[in-house]
Amino acid sequence: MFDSMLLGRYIPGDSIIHRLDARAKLIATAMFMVIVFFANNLVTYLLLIGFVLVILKLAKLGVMFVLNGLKIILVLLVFTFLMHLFLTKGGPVLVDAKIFTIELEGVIKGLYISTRLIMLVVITTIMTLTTSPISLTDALEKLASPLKVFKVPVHEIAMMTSISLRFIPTLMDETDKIIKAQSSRGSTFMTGPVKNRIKALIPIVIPLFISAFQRAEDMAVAMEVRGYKGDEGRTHYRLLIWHRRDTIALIILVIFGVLLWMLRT
Amino acid sequence: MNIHLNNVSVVYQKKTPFEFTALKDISTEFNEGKFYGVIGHTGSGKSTLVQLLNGLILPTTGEVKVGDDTLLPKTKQKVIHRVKGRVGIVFQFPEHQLFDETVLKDVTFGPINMGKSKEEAEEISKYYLKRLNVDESLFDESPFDLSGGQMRKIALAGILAMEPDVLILDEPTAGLDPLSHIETMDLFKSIHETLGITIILVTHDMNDVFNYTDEVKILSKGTLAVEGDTHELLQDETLLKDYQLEVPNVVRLVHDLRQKGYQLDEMPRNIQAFISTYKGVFDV
Repeated sequence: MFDSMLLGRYIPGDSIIHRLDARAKLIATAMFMVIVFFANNLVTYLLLIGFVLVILKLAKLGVMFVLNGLKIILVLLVFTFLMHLFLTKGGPVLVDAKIFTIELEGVIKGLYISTRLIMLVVITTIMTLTTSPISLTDALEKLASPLKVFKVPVHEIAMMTSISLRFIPTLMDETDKIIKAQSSRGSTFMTGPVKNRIKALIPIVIPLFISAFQRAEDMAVAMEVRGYKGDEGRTHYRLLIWHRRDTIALIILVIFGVLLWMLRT
Repeated sequence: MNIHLNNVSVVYQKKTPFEFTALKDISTEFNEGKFYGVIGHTGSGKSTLVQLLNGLILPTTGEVKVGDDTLLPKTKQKVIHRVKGRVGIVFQFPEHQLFDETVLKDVTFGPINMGKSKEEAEEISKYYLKRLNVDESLFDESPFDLSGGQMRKIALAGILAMEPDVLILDEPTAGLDPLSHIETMDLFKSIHETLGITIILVTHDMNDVFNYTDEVKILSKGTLAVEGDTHELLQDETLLKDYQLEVPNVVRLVHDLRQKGYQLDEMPRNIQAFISTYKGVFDV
């Protein structure tokens, strides 16, 4: 049921993108999120799409494979597009149906904003697809460590993040199992009137909550018996090493950002 | 009600890097009133096979005939719903599926989904709860206040109350203590005998397979490797070894003793039966 779901998933592989330092990827993703907003005309949007396609190619991920996995955000996308379609005014009127009008500006804006959203989601998905959750949180912890001076519990936040990421697939499996068990008992949350479908969610959500709480408790006990007491005196088994290619990757991204800035109108 | 599988294949996550063929061209049948065992090494396709039988998974190619209904790659929900009422699955750790406020309400969930009125459903549910020795005083308790063993019984009653013709058990004794293990399996046996329900047992426990089932299907790497009479197949040690399966304890015992020169003609189904059959043969 969640077979093609990609959000938050990691696919081990061997590509230049996989090998980049997790910190570099994290910084690059943050930078890209800013750069995406530079684009505001056809040329810049095309450049943006081209750039993302190149990264996909470098990461050895198929375009259709990634897009398929993102069906879940489709609702958001369609909603955004429709909002712009109907509400943004300007340019020649394309459709005039008395109660509403569709104008050229609306179509263009809708397309641009949707592309922007897709690019944002695709690039962050590439990051999670090519970086193991452990190195990702390690990177997060490293990058945020200066905040420790201000008594921000950086290690704890990183630990919590890594545990949450770790449990996404587990809970997915669990959900899948419970859905199967309940639909074997004739529960029909995929068909029928909306009211019934919502009601049919209860038999799925309640067992899921119970098992999530149980898992959390088991996890806490398992961590405590192994003497976990937070950040104090903790060393790392895996070390993040910054290579020259990481610097180069960031430089390329900066150049791309500058280029986009110059081409925007 | 009989079930037929004709050239069934199942492929998961088609056209992704995760593409995986779980079952390859399987043709077999499950006939009314029998007790089947489905065995095979981890990843052999056992759970995919049983999920096909009640429409949780539809075949990628081929067809599954359940009584008069046929499940095809694009079968409608209505047909699948009907099949689910006739083929019940008890999943591993079924107690994890409990959700309602009271035991009775939880058990009625299945029958009500299948179109029974509340009164009818309650009547059937009470019958099966009693059948599984769940005390009447517990009917209005929350299922979450009960012990693990009782929760499992209630989950089982929830499936039986749908009155399926075929009952599929996926590792039903996982995590049970030895005594509850025997109790549970004996319970299934008596359900099978008294209600005439076809049972399909999916398990790693070769002793249970040898003890309880009539026929066995051995899966290997997504194909149906061997099928036939349990008593015959599970005595064949080389065959079992080929499919990385364990030899049932009682079979090993009898074979070892025969090798030591004892004259043991009959093959008992379990260790208890061995003891009563051959009492007095050995001088202690």
